[in-house]
Amino acid sequence: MGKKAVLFILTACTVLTLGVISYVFQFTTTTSSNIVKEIDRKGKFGDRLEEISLKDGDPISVLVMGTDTRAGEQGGQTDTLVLLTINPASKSVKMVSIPRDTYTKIEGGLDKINSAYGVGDVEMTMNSVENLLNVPVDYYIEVDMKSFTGIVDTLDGVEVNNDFEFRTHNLEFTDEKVDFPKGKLTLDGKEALLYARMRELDPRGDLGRQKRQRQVIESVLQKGSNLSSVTKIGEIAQVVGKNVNTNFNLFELWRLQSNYKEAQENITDYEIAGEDKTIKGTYYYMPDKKELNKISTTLKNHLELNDKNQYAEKEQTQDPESSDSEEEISKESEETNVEASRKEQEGSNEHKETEDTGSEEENSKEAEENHPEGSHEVQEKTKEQKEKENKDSEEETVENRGDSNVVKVITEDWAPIPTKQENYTGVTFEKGSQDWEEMTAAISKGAGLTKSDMIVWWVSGDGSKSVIATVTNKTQSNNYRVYVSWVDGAGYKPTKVEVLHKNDKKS
Amino acid sequence: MEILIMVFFILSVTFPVLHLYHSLPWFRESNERSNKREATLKKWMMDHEPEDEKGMSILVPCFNETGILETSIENMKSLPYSQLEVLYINDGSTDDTLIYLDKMLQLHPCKISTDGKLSHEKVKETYQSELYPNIYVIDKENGGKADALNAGIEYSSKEITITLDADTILEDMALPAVNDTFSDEDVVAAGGMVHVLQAKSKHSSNRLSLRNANMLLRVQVLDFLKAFYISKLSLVRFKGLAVISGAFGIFRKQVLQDVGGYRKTIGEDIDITLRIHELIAKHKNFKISFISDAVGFTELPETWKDLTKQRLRWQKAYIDCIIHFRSFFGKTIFSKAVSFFYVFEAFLIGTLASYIMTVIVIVNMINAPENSYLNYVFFYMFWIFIFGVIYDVVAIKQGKHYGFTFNWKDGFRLFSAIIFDILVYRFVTMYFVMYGSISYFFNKKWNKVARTGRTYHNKATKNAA
Repeated sequence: MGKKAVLFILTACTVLTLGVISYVFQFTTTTSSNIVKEIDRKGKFGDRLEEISLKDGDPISVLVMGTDTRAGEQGGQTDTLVLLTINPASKSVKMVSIPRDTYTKIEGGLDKINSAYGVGDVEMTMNSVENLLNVPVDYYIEVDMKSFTGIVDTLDGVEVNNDFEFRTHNLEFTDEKVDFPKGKLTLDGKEALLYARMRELDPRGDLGRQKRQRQVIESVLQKGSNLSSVTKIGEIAQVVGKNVNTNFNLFELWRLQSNYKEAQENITDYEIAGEDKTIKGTYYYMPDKKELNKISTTLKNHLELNDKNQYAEKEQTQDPESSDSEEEISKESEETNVEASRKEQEGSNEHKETEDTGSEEENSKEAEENHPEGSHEVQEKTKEQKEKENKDSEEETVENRGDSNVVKVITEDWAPIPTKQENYTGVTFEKGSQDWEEMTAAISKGAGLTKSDMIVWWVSGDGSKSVIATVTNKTQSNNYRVYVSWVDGAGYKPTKVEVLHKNDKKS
Repeated sequence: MEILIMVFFILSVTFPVLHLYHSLPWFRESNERSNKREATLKKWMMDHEPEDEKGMSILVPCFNETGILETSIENMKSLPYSQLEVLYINDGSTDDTLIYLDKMLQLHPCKISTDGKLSHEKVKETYQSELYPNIYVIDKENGGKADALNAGIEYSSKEITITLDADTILEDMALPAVNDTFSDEDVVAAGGMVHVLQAKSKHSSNRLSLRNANMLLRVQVLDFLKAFYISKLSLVRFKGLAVISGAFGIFRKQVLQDVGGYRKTIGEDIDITLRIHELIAKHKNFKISFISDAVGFTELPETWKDLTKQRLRWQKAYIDCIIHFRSFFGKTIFSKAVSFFYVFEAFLIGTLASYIMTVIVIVNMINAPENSYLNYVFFYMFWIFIFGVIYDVVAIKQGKHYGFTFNWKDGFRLFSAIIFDILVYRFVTMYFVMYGSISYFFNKKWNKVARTGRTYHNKATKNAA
């Protein structure tokens, strides 16, 4: 009988062990196939990700993205963007909210940062944040509303400190009726979602909402880092299912939990100051350059990236063409800024006050150093420009009634720019390419500017063989919208030029 | 869904693990004889105390067996056991089986008395061999294997009945080992150890050779090692052995008559074992044994076609018996090991789970083809592979423990057989289980497997003698 007991115990133990092993195996494979979504990105910080060792506790940055669609599906927007830098050595976390309406450069164009997700998914969002703040974005965690609620519930709610009392009884975005009194609150998943989404009633508006979002994230971090029970982790994995994506793999998440959890003891949060602006009926948030600079420096220090040139060089070698042209553009616009303000004083031309985007900011010092020479050049060209302007007025013009921004429309029989391309397939939009050179040549011809005196603000496709570009001269005194089309066997040629009151692709 | 998979995983792994441990020598029952028993002791018993030898009748039903009979007769006549009679029952063969028997045995008609307890088809004539007076032939009308065995019981005269297939041959020490086991009056039936005839070594009696066996035979060698040295051994220790193999079964004649002989069915060997279990339910001291050192070799199918026929027949037999004995199983499912293992292990886990797991995998492949399919492949690889290798290795070790080793040159063949077993063979047998279960309800034919027509006796018996 004793032997039978031994047999049954032995069998039970073995089966249990096998069960646990296979469950863990099953769990890890399912979870990683559900949530781990590696992305292959060539951001401006190159292959920094490969050099990071979570084992050694290298400082890292993580972009938390709250989306309004199910993760993994196409389209949608990022409602919440919070960049965290985690430094386990100094046991600290820095958290920056990026306002979703932030006006910034997204892959050649300028738009709200939250539209990057719809255009180029996670990858472009990460790149845009890198451009805006000029710090590397190593990891991302993408969470949708459903899994957010689930995560908070599994953690038994989050604790927040509410600044002001509000009730969600008559709000547009929800039918839920919840009271949020002032003071310390413990919120369940549904309440936390409302708390993080509400903006209308907040006297500080979006900034207030961002603060509430950070509070929630902070509490999730705190609760999550103290997770010790295996069943809880399993529960969370169950809840998040396919609605959370990240480029942390499971081993890295494990390391994160073990090596980085103490960092959450000391969390500092930042918001990006700026001002509201409405351009062509669309609301944008214009970040303050100095603020961005300050935050960027803080984060870089926190990430222990003290040698600024290190990454600048890397960028150069990695993708020399695109970064060159990028820098050129920003330099130019900076110069024009200075020049423009001088002109404004002279009262020679109308000029709108401008805000610059973050990526341009980085080169402002350089630009200022170059100023004396630069301004001289620009002034000379402005004279030429004025002469041309006089010519333009003699040409055939048509009154434009549709667009109030259009002063006049010029249609002329321009000759195509002779092409060197043998196999033309359509507009490529690749800066530095032969196609780009020829296209911009056609644009400058249409606008009547020399290429070196032209700033290209915006180029968008108009069918596969035509583009519409918004350009100005360097002093930004003359604004043009140029329509360029490809003529088979000949090359690009301008088809129509609209002279604009103001540059609508700039603010 | 995941819970269901987990439950089935645990169930399907529990029984193999249980048997794996339980078959180890440490769990040997006190009355089980050790394999370590000195061969000389048996020799001594054999030579000096023939009066202690119980009478044994070997029954060999034959239906169109000309190909293998020579091997069988060569083996029977060389068995070193005095109290032995051998009865070949010609079950209305349509070929030259009877002529062949006459040629080999020099038959002359003789009168054999019967007990008149079991009914069977009409016996045309009974013969005795002039060359070997203890070998008899019963020529009867065709009635199937069960009917032939019932006739054999009727015409046999000894206390112990041994049923063999025509293609089974016995080792010299098999009968003394049976004799020893049945000296315990409570043992009413027993199964002998069956190895693959094609793997019988020509040079050594305690070695298996894979040299002349194709891959299909090699995995069956492993299969038999696992079935006998792990599963059957463990089940006997639980008093739950439901199948005494028709290839080599040993019974007290009295018990066979008490349970009413064999039933005409596709799986008469399972049927008779379960009938004896029903009898044991009334006589608590009775028991069924497994005699690990009573060794027989039986021919196994060498082609996929024959293997399919054989395995489908086995599966149909399983299903037939679960239906036939449903009330016995129902009453004793939790009180008798045999019912518990038959219903849970063989039927629920072995049969139904095959369907359910297949459905689960297919549904998952359809629902989420990208990830879950890969998951299942890795999942399967992970534990089936490890566990399958362990199971095979333990079976080989058990074989060694009970006196059968492989030549070291067979190492690679054995290794490749293990891989083949895990990656291919078990899927195929799962298919047999599924297909056989369904086809039972549509087609209940016997599906007799053709013999290979090889000769094993010449070298084999010479070496064994």
